[in-house]
Amino acid sequence: MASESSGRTFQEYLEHHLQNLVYGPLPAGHERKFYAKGSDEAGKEVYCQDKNLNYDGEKYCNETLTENGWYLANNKTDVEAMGFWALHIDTMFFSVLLGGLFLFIFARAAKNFSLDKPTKLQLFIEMMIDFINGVVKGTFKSAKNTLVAPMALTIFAWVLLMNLMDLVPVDLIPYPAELLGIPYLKVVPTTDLNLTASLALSVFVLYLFFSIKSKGFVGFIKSISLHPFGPWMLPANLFIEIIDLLAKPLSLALRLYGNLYAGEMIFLLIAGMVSIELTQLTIAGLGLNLAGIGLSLIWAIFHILIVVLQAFIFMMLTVVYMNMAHEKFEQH
Amino acid sequence: MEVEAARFIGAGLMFGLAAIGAGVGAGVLSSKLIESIARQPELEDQLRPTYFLGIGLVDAVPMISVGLAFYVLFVA
Repeated sequence: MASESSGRTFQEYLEHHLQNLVYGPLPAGHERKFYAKGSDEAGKEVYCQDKNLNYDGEKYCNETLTENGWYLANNKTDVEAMGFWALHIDTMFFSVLLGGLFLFIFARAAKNFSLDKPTKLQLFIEMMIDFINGVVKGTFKSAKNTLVAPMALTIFAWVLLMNLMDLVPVDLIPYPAELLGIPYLKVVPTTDLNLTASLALSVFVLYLFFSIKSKGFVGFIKSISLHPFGPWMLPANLFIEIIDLLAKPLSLALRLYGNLYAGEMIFLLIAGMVSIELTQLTIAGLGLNLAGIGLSLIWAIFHILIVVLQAFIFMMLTVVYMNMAHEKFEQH
Repeated sequence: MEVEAARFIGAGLMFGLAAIGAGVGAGVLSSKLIESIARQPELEDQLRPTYFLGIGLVDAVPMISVGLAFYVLFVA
């Protein structure tokens, strides 16, 4: 197993890959645990003593904090002690990096724009813009708003880039990072609920804003209180419409998160089958290795569909919601 | 009942029910798509994006269920 080389069991390997890199405040008196590296008891004890920490006799070196401060979390108890201000800095880093990449590529293509000799990059971007333009023109019909198409393009390209990080082999970035001293690393930002939920919340705020702008505040209240059954069933209307309203950001966020998380989980399970310690390889181990490589390939090819589809659906539903927000309120 | 056994039964149910739901959903969608294209071949380009949107929506919840089943089986 790939996990053997890092001295972890299969389960610890999975948990390690599913944990974000968290930065947050820890109170004084909190006990931090560091994973002790070393092949035997004595080696682990020396490893801990090198860092001036106590070895607990099993797996960890302990350190009790003397003052409050901001630290990188080393395990789940650290994350729990951090509470609200636990920042997932790997998610932030990779999402901003990919957003920057998207802006950089598009800005470069726009600067080097040429009618006579279009580059391949320019043609690709024109194709993408045509595609988004077609989708928005086909779906967004209730009003005129020049914000919707650029927003759709941004969401599509950004979410697609973040999803594509899922196709990077699961150990390629986290393993070198761990050798450099970064305890956890999750490279796919969309497998973090915080990111998908914040994306969905932004869409929801825009939905509320454009609803109120196009219908007026009174019109918006009317649309959620008088709608399915008429004024004499106001409580039932409110109940249904508010659930309908809240389901929008919730389903947006959970759909993207769940799909990518499940995909990542399956990649991890396949990676767990593969051994990199070639000296101790048996025939059965070799078979498992080949099966793992084959399965990885098959799942990656299948996953391309999910990656693109989920980005498309997030974009499509955003446009649909924007269209609903711009509809005028009508008494049925 | 032992916790370990309950975990396997739970994960098995999650896999199975997810497969049934996704199978029925995708089957209905695909059959309707083929019917529609057979009836009006010129509409194919308009139907395909809607079909993929539908497939994505149908696929999402079972996929989440499969992921959670793996989580229950190996991590929790």
